[in-house]
Amino acid sequence: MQYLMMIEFKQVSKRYPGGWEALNQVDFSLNKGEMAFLTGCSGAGKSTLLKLIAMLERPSSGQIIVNGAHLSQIPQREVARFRLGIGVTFQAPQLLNDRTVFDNVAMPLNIQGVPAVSVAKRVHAALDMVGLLRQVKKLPRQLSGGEQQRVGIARAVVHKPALLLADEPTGNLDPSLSADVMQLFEHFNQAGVAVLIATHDLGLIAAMKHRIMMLKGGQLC
Amino acid sequence: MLRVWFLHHIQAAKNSLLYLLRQPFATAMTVIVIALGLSLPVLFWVFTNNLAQISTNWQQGGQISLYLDMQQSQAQETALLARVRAVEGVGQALLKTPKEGMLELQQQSGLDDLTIELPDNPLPAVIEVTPSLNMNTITQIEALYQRLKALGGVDEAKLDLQWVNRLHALLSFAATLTRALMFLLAATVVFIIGNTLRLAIQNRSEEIQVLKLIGATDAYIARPFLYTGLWYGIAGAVVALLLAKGFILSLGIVVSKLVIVYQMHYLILFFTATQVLQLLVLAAFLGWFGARLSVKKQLTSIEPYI
Repeated sequence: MQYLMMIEFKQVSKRYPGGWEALNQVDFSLNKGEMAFLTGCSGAGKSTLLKLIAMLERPSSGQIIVNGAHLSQIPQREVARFRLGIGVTFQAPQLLNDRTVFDNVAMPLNIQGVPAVSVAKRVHAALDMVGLLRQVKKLPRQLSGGEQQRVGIARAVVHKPALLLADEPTGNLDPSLSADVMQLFEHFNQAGVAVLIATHDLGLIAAMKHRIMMLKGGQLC
Repeated sequence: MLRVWFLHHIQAAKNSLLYLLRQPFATAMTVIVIALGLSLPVLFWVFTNNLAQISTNWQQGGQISLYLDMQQSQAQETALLARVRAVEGVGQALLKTPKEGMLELQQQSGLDDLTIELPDNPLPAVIEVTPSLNMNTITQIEALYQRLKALGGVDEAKLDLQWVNRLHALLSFAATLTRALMFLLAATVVFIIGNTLRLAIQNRSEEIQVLKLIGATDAYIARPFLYTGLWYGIAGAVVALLLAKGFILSLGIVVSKLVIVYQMHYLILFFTATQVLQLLVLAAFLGWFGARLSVKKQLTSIEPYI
């Protein structure tokens, strides 16, 4: 059966040790090639939801299906391979400060074992898309916050994942930079990538014509 | 698949080597500690090699005693002595009459009145044979012994290899000691490298988290660390060889003086190319093993946190 859905949550709950319930019976889905926003106050469960999709956490109950794969059936040793199929960016771009921009972006390709010639080509293409082609040889700390964020995004898309997850990608950026970054995500979405962005920046996303899901107290409303 | 595997190994080997070279001071410190640990067994190895060499040169210590038939005349015994001297491989042969033998026995045992107690001299005549200098292996001496024993008129023959046997026992003791010491110091090297990499992983836990986050397997993350252990082992072995060589060169001056005093010709042996290779492979394995011990366990404990 060909799955039309990229992400499917069925009655998913996540309770942390100590009793805090981050997600409570959440049902939602994201179609292939769709772009959507996930919003809500801090502590509403946005990050938890993204972590569950990236298998950084496992749900307490319920079913999650990503790109046709039931996550509960993926054993721990296969998690790495699963993660390689998606792209993730965060509020802190999680770059390695002792490696150049090029090396940072090349990491997913090196893990996949892409030959060096193709690596160079694809890294340059990804950096070109985020407008950082001239910073290839710099170290991350030589770049501004917005540039670092874009390096993180380039790394998330360089291996052409079918799904891109972004957790507060504009959290540290000023409004005009934020708009640029959002445009970048739209650009990837137009190329066929399903994009799910968690953000509390309602003003920014209201103007964009994409589905907005609101999380409140661990439930979608 | 195989191409990817190969590529990953090349990358890991290269990157880990570059990483070590980028911090030469820290790397040198670790390598020297490993080299000191390795140089002691290396020196022991060299010494046992040399002792074995010396012992093969000195093996003509075997003495053969031929006990002659009692019912022979003095003339027959002298004739036998001449025949023994004609046998190839015999250096020196001396005839000891029963009377001389008894005298020697009395001196050695301190029993002066032995002849009074005994009605007849029960001792046979003995020919003491010292093998010639070119008989320098145990098998050659043993062949000579068999030949002499078969001569007519010889009742019993005794081969005294006690001295040689003692030397061999001593040598095998030294070899066992070397092995035990090597085992201990090999364990030391394993733990030094294990501990060094434990710290390296702690220092790079941020990088490991990021790698896990973007889909690197534990094997992929572990590989550069395993190669780091391998490089440490090899570099440690090379430095240990240099240290041992330096030590032996300085020892060579003393030994050459000693050799002149004893009027012999002796050259200290160092390792053969094969032994050097053996040491390098062993050290590389120890490094890899030490790295593996600490890396596997630690990597599973580091999980990406965002």
